[in-house]
Amino acid sequence: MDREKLSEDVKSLIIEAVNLQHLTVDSIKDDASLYQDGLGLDSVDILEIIVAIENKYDVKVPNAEKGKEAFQSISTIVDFVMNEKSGTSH
Amino acid sequence: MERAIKNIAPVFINEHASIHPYGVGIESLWEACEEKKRHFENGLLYIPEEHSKHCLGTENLFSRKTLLNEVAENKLLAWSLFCLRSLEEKSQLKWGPRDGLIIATTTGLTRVWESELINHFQGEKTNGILYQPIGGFAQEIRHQLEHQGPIQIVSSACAAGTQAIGLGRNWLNLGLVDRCVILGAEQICDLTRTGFSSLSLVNGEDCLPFNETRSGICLSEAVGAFVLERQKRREHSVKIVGYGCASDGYSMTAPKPDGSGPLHSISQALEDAALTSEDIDWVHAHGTGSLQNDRAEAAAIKQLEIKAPVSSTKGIHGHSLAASGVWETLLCCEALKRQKILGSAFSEPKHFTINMARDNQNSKVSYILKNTLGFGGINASLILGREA
Amino acid sequence: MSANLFWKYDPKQEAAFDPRFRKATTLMRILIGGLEKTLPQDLPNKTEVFLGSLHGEIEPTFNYLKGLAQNGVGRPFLFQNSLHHSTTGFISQQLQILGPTYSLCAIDEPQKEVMAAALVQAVANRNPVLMIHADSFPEELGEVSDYSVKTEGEFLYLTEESLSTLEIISETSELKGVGHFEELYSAINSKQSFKINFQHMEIGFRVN
Repeated sequence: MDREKLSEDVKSLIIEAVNLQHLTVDSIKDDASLYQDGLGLDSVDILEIIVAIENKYDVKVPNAEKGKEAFQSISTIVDFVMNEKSGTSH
Repeated sequence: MERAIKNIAPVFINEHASIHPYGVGIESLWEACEEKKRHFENGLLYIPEEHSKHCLGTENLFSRKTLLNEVAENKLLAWSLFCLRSLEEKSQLKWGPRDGLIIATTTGLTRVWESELINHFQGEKTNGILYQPIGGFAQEIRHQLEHQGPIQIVSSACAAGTQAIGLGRNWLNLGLVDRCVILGAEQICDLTRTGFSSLSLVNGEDCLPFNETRSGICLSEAVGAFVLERQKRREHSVKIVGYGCASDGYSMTAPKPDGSGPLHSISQALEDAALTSEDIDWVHAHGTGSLQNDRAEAAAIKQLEIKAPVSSTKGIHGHSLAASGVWETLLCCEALKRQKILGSAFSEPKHFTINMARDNQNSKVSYILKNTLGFGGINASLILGREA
Repeated sequence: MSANLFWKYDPKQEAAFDPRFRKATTLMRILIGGLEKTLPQDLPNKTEVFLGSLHGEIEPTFNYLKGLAQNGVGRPFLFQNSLHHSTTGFISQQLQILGPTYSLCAIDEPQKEVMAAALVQAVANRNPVLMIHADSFPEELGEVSDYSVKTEGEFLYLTEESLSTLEIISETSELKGVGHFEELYSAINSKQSFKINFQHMEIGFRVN
């Protein structure tokens, strides 16, 4: 799985999932926090993003703790998806 | 210029009827609470089939053909008509122009709409959309009761039940009606069952209000109904002495953590009742068992220096959204009648710096504070009293 | 002291995308647009809000149930917006109106039912009231019903001063019936007595 491509896809998925039409894929940094000092999202936004990621990549966030850990920034989401995908391919 | 309600005659809760997961009538709910029963399955508590059958089997439940075919089998309608027919009999209600009805529900006949929508998505032509407006639920009730009086539906999320009581009191006080029936009705449907989970607000097992390990609400279903009047009709009729309502303007799905919402609704109810926090003998909390609700509600009770014991009974009977304010008010009526308060089932008092009541207690109960908090930052509080 | 205010949604005035409303529904967006433009900044804290609707937030509710039926996924945003206090709650949050807010579901006629509820409350409590009516209808559902509700939104704000002498009167036969907000707006402004008919009830009001 190409990390750069995945990162772009995740960004555009987030823009669509939580209606960030005022942002573009290029304007979001990989290490940008999803929360206050980054994209400024709240806990319901995060739930919405989790649903979108789970759906698109056919992965499952097992519990709330894992969700919190994996959904911190674009990079952590990308890590999570790549890990899950490589895990299932073995 | 001010014309405060408190100077006008109080209104009373007279005859009542209810159906809930533990049976028919408020006594069986009270007993379930005393015995600390809990019958949740996957965080849900349904009205058992046998009770629904009992309702549906009642003679004259439907006086004529329903407006829409599919609703004749709907349980919420059956439970509601069962309670209303019971009040009709006990209070000789004729549903005339001076008999008002205020309905509190957030979902109405959504259960019927949902199943019709599935047919729609499968490409079938259905008239299912007719069940979407909550007004349709009231239209069917009006049709069956042949009701000639005013009807209003309040859907302000989980505060709707208490709001209905507040609005009904005004109808009576201003002389618009002679009797006002309050009906709180809620049936578990796919929308609420999956929706609260999607927001991570549902506990898949038990509901643990005011407990450090609480992790969410358990949904339940119920119908509660009673007759509000200016006259006291029964020995144990309960008086509505205060009502308050406020918004916190914070979030769509969580109360403001500082508790300013319930703080304002409780303060207003106290002011309306011309009472102080010291006069309250028991707080029947909203206490849903969600992280946010219990924290905010406890913060308000603490700031108002309410020393009375505080309980939530949702650990027993779960949360039935708009209906909760109605049937939980009936539990408060039982407490005033029995001079006893219910313990806060499954709470851990040490985690909250308010006076949590863990056990059932015999106690002098003159005034009870009933709180409700809802989505969209809405809060409504009632103060119920025993006629001295 | 500000004046009574009436506003009605004009579908020709579509607003540009505003990130503040990225989670809002159509009804929320159009109402906030109108309220922010029209209401004074210093709205009294005790203003009571009554919002009435026939369908409520049918659009997110429909879309939520559609997602659930078609791929088993319930989207949190859509659920959050689906419940019947969501529009009123959003208005309270955006405008920081911290008084009582009521969401009413209409049985027959949303505007009449909201006016009756709000004015009865005003007579009882003497607080300013903001009454709102809003309805919309997803195009997709047009196929399965005869309903043809376009997006509608209007509100009427009545000041404490204009309501201070409002009274309920029992003799209603001579009174002019008021059917919607705009009629009420002019009746109150011209201090004309009027009545509202709803649900077999006729309530007469007098402004002195």
